Formats: sequence, C-alpha cells, structure tokens
Amino acid sequence: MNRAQKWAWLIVVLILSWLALNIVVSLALYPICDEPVMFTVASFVVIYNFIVMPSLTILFRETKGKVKFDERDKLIQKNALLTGAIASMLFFGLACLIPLFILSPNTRISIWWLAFISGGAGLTYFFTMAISILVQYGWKEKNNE
Amino acid sequence: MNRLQKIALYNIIVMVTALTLTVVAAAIAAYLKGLSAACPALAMLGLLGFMGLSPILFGGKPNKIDFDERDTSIQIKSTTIAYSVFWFLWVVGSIITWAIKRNSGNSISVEVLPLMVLAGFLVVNFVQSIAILISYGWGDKNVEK
Repeated sequence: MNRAQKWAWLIVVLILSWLALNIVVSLALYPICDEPVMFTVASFVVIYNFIVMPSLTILFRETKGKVKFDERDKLIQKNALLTGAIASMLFFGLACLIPLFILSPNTRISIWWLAFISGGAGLTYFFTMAISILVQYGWKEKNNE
Repeated sequence: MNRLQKIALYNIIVMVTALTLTVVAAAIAAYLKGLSAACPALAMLGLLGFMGLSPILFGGKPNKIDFDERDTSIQIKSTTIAYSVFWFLWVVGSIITWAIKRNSGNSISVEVLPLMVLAGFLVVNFVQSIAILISYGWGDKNVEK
C-alpha cells in the first residue's frame, strides 16, 4: 500500500467516523440543545482539522532518498482530483437548488446554510477523491508500494 | 488560434454581452418603473444559452488531430484555476453575507441560492476562458491546428 492509498484510507475512515459520531452526538443532544447539529459540526471540524489531521500528516510524512511517485501515480492523482472537484460542484448545485424545491419561494433560510454548503462541499471533495484513489489503485492492492 | 482558444473567446464575448444587456435592461426598468421592476431584466441572462452552441460552431474537423498533451494540460490547469477562484470567492462571499446579515435576522431568501449557482457558473466559465487565453498567449497564432 503506497502513501496515497494510506492517505485515502485515512480520509475515508476519518470522514465516516466523523459522520457517525456527529449523528450519535446530535441525537443525544437533541432534547437538551437548540442547535445540536451546528454544535457538533463545529466541534468535530475543529477537532479533526486542527488536531487529528496535522498529527496524522506528520505520521505519514515522506522519507527522503526514495522515489515514490511515477507517471501512473500522477495520472491517478489527477483523475482523483477531477472526480473530487466534480462531486463537490454537484453537491454545491444540489445544496443550492433543493431548498428552493422543498420550501416555498418566499421562505427565508438560516445563514448557516452557506457554511454548511462550504463544509459539505469540502468533505465531499476529499471523500470522493479518497474513494477514487482507492478504486483506481484497487482497495487491497499491495503492489503499489 | 486553435479550437480551445476560439471557444474561450466566444464564451467571454457571450458572457460579457449577456451581463451588459442585463445591467442595461435592469437600469432602464428601474429608472422607468422603480427598483422592483428590475428583476425581470434577469431574463436577459438567458442569452448565456448561446454558450452551448460553441461545440457546434467550433466543432473538430474529421481526420485531423486538433488536441495534444499540451492542450490537455492547459485545459486541466485552467479548469483547476477556475474552480479554485470559484471556491475562494464562495467562501469570501459567505463570510461577507454572514457579516452583513448577522444583526438582521441571520437569514437569506431561498431565492438567492439559485442565483449563487448561476454566479458560480459564470465565474467558473469566465475564469477558465481567461486562463486558457493567457496560457496560450492572447494573440499567439502559432498554436493553430
């Protein structure tokens, strides 16, 4: 398993665990807190972005003096980036248009929706990119080392 | 000028024309009938549909290679720049909206969200077209295919 695959697995596990934790904490806090979803989103974004991610990036740092990246890896990374970009734009379009179809045209929506779109698009981007990397290399392929 | 450059230039001309006509129509409507009458002027943005004609107007010629690795590289780079600019503007716009609206109900109309998709579409296409023209060189005739 090469560095890109390890990174992809890390992202998939982090995002899925974050979503699972978010749902559990939101449901637990729902009876006692007015906006538990926003609270948990904010708390986990802070935890993962400022504590977990930098720590794991240090753990997966590159070792010097070894060629680890060739044209194939570059092509896979490029395809994964494009997949992530397309998925995040799809999320953006849906997140902007779905409220209009569900709610009546004169309804007002919380300003936090904009933050949700930004965060959701970011998560969609990284998650799709990670899945794309794993699909292209093969989920358990060991020959990419 | 190659096919990609022609499409980029065509898209810029269509976008600038549509936006100019929209602003002029809105200004005239607002001057004659008040600010509330300016909204129908957004219908002029329908002229952006002419951008969809670019593959027909500048279609590839049969039995002729008109796209190589350099063109692919330029296209990918310009797309990356366009989406980077779009997300930067989106986050900045969200923060500004939050700063303006935080003391006045903390909400926006759902009708604003589809306009954001339209604005995003315009920004991505405009920046991509500019990036393509800059990458090739504005008046460079040596890239003719």
